[in-house]
Amino acid sequence: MDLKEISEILRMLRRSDVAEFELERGGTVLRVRRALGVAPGVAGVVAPAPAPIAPAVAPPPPASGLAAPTADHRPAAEPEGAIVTSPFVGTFYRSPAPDAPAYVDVGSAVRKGQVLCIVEAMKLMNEIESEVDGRVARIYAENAQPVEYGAPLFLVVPT
Amino acid sequence: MREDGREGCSGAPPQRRLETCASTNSEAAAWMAEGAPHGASVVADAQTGGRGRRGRSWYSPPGAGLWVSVVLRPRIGAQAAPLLAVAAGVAARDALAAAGVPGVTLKWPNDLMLAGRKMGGVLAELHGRGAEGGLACVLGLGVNLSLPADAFPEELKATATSPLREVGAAPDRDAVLDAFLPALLAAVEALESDGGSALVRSFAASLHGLGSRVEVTLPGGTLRGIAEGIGPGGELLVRDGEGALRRVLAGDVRLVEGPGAG
Repeated sequence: MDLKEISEILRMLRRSDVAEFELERGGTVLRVRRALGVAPGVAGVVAPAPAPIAPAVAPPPPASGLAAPTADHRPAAEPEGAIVTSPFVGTFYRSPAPDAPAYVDVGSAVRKGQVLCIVEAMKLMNEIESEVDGRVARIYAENAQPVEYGAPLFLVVPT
Repeated sequence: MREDGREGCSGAPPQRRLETCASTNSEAAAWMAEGAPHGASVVADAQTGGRGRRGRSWYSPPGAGLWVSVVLRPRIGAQAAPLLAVAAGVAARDALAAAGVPGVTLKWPNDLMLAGRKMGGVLAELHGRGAEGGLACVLGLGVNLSLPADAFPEELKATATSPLREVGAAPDRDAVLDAFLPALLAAVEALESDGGSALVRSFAASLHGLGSRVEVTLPGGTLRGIAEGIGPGGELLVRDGEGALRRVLAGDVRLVEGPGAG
């Protein structure tokens, strides 16, 4: 993750209604929390050892490795949870076939490993699974629409 | 903890041969979940529920073609994973040439074309995200080999074909298979070592409909333009009516005029 990518992510978030975003790549975690209606800020960048090139856009991460508390800025409407992001540029599908029911809806209870959606690029179908037991709180992408690499797809609140 | 199924493997990867199954991709996915190694393959004489893209069915009657699925555990990032489907198309083209069927072209992203009609296709299913557990992919290939002209279902007659139909002779299935498996693993290795640039060049060299007018059915509508080539990520480059170059990563492509249209 370099500064250019981070600024692209922030720009993408600014256009969305996403209040919280987390992306892990190559051992570096980018975590963004923001109050809707104001510009996003980087709440914490955590780089566990061995540290890759840590982006220098944030204050040093707290020793605990957790993001600085930002509860004051988080709107009450956006629950805490795991953001599921797109693995590559492709098309987002909420069902296995056009006439099949959606894998999940907002409010669905999901188990760790349960399929949430498919992202397709070039006839490679990636079934995206939930990484936690929880409940689907938000679906950010539209069925059968293009999604960018790293774009948020779901918010799953652990139970 | 990491189990990428590629440690200590020597000799040919394991293979399961079935008379019939619902779908070789489903069989391979179940085997992969049990830990099948990189390169493990499932071959069936017939599929009763062969699958294509987005729930479409794939006609695969007994003994008429090669229906195979391969487990891959590539050492690449998830962002490069779509190139695995390109690797499969390129490997199948080369395997067919080695088995005596030259002149196969690739319709983006990986349909195998002979004399302007489709003779085969690829369906890849990716599991895992590459972060901790590594990527795992089932790569399915279906190729019509010895389906005679009168055996094609009515709705496929105009658009589908086989070497038997086009040139009067079918290559031996196992000869194609024995050439395909090492070609696929070599293509994956090339992808791992150079990020896919050699693979994309090889793909572009036999792109079906290069320079032709195409219609691409996209989620938001139809894109019409000229197919100009393949981008570094394997995407189809289409020059639209306004002169803008558009990158297509998912969609159904149809040639509307030019060489091999139909």
